[in-house]
Amino acid sequence: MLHVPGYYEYCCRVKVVAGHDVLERIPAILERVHATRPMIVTDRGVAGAGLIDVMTEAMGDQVTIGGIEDDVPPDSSIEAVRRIAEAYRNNRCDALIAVGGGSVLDTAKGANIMVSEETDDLMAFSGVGTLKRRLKPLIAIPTTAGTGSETTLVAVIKDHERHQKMPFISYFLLPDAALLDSRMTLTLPPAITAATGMDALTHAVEAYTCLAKNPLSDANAVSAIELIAKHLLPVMKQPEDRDGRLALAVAATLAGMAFSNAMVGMVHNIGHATGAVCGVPHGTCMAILLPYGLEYNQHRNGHLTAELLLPLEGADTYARTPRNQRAQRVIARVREMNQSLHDITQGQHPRCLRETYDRDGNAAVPFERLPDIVAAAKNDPAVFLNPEDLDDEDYRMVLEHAWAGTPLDCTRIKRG
Amino acid sequence: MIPIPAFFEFECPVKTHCGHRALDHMPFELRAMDVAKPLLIGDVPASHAKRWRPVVNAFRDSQMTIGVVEEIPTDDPQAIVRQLAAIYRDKDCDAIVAVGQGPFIDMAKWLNLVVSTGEETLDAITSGQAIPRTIKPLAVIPSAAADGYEVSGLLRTGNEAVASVNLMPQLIFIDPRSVGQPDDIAMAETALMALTHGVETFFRSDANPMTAVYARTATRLALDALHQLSGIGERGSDLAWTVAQAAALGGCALGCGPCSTTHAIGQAIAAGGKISAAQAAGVVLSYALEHRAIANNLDNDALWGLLCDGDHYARTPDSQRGSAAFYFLRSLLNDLFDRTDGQIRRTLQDAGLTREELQDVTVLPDPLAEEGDTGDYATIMAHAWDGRPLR
Ligand SMILES: [Fe+2]
Repeated sequence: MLHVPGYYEYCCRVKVVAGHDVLERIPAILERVHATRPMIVTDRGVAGAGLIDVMTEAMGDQVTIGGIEDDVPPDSSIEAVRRIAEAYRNNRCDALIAVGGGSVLDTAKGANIMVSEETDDLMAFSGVGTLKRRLKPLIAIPTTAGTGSETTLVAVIKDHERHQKMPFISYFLLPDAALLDSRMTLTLPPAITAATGMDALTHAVEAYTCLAKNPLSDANAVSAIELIAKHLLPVMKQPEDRDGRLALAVAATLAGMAFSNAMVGMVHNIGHATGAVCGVPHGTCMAILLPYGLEYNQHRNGHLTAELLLPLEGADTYARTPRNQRAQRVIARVREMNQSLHDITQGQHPRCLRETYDRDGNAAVPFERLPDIVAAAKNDPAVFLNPEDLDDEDYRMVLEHAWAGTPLDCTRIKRG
Repeated sequence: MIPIPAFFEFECPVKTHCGHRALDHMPFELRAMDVAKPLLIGDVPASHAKRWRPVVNAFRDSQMTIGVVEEIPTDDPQAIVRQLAAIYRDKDCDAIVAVGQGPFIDMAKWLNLVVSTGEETLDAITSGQAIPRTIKPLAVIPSAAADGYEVSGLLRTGNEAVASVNLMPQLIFIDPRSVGQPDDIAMAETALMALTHGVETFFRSDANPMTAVYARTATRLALDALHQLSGIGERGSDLAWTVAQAAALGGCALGCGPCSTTHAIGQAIAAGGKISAAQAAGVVLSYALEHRAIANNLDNDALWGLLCDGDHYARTPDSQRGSAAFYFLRSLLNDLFDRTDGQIRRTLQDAGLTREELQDVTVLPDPLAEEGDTGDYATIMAHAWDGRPLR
């Protein structure tokens, strides 16, 4: 259905290059932006998985790599940004290639500000619209099919000295190109494929069912959902399926375009808090919480959730499911997907918060920590665009059910 | 769903601002692109349609200096572009805001090339090199009476055509106050062209899931508007705004990609002067699609899914989706014909073309035509003439 709000904005300026042989085209892509000496920015995990080797091999000797910085921390920090900017200058580089997830890209964006503005004072450029001109060329190569961070114009850099997270927001921070190559996700471990795939699904579903939707973000979301529904489970069973991998990467970018224009809701809200308090990976939180967000909001947006049954399960199921049961069926389907992912990963993909563990095998989310998660969730801006309000009691109820893995009791959801 | 190609590129530099008071965002958005002094240019219809004033007013409290030239004719593009470039340089402007439609926006794109590159003729600008991505920001204010190419990356003037993603406007502001209130025929023509752009780009050879987002949205908006205009749907107060959105997003879908069969035929027939290019394209569309379907070159499921909502799509059996789509497009024209006392044509015959005249129509290969489009134009036109389905 066409939903046109009274006012909306939509923008996805990033150039997307996608396919099975995109890495081979990096020299041509660099040439187009007049760069000859790129610096590669990545993290240990990506480098350790051999992805930088895959990339440099594909590029051949047509490009001189000015340097490889492979120690970006999981939380982008100002120190890492400074170090990379310095290496960039010392090696006389003229472009950045960020290979990895959100923190790698954020760090590269920060370094780009420093080298382009020829400044040592990064924080002077924080906030909205401080940047006034094009920066050095930046190419983003995501290595998970999930975050969609290649589509965003935001960078968040941690200033540890001042205990602050500084946001930088500008269209000049958008990468010049996002490259989606099936080889970059081909070796992704099953549990991470599952979690990141469900993160992308959540981006699309929340963008479609929450308050800031518009017709273009809706079209992004529906395509992303269709692709994830069709390819996630087959790729889990057959990790080498390169068409499936490419489809999931494209879906994640589509979902990124959807949520960077339409924002997200309570699933991300509670997920951010759970991640911050208990260290549960973002995608895992999304997978667990998505059905609860849909259940909680159903009295407000059930008609929108119902429409998603078509991309999720196809025309036959949609036509055969009575109108008033479609939203329920969508929620059930998401739970079934989690169950299948749980089975395929032999339990590594948790179905509820109770099933999440830290590195040492201890429960990641002890029941006693739920109040801390509630406290953190109340301060997260993602909740503003959720269709229904949440107070302490509501958060607590949702978290308790998500912890135990039991469906919400609809009679306990307050309306209004 | 269209399949994902083994390789594709997608780029759309357009930021869309759409709806209530959209124009109010313009000064801020221009500043964010480091613009200090935009040159506002408008064509004659824009002033007559009262589209011009709200755009100028949007700068009233902005403390931004602007240059303004309104009621600009389009009869001698080369000379006018030269004059405007002189004004632009003289006033030290650093961006263009264009309020107009069709050929006027082509001129605005041309002007932008001239002031950005220093070269004057299109030949000199494009000789041997791609259009640079560093050209100045261009903002376009879409209209409900549009040819649909305004927001695309195409620039056409005389027999010349240039295509580049860098020619697309970086900013568009679709504000109900500045889309104009054209009559129903003009709006129907704009919506028919937007529908054609949406549907044909959805199935274009370079289509991918990201171009499809614009194609699908433009198609949906165009159909929504056409349903209102044909009396099937309830008429909303924001009809003109919907039409302008459809046209603008159809332009995003087109991007700088190749033109399609329907356009080539539509242009060729319109050259005879009996029917507008938009109406000719609207008439030809279902026959061109059906022709493609018979040649096994069209996914009927995807077509029906594009044209109708989820409920309609799902309840139509597989085997009926193709014929449902062609029937749907033809009934839409029949309803429009009825509603407009025949001013929107159902067939080429309605437009007063004779079979003999049709035989004289030569479909010239568009300079930007899709590769391999050696289509059987005669068959498509013959069926579009009297409205006979191909099978
Ligand atoms: Fe997320």
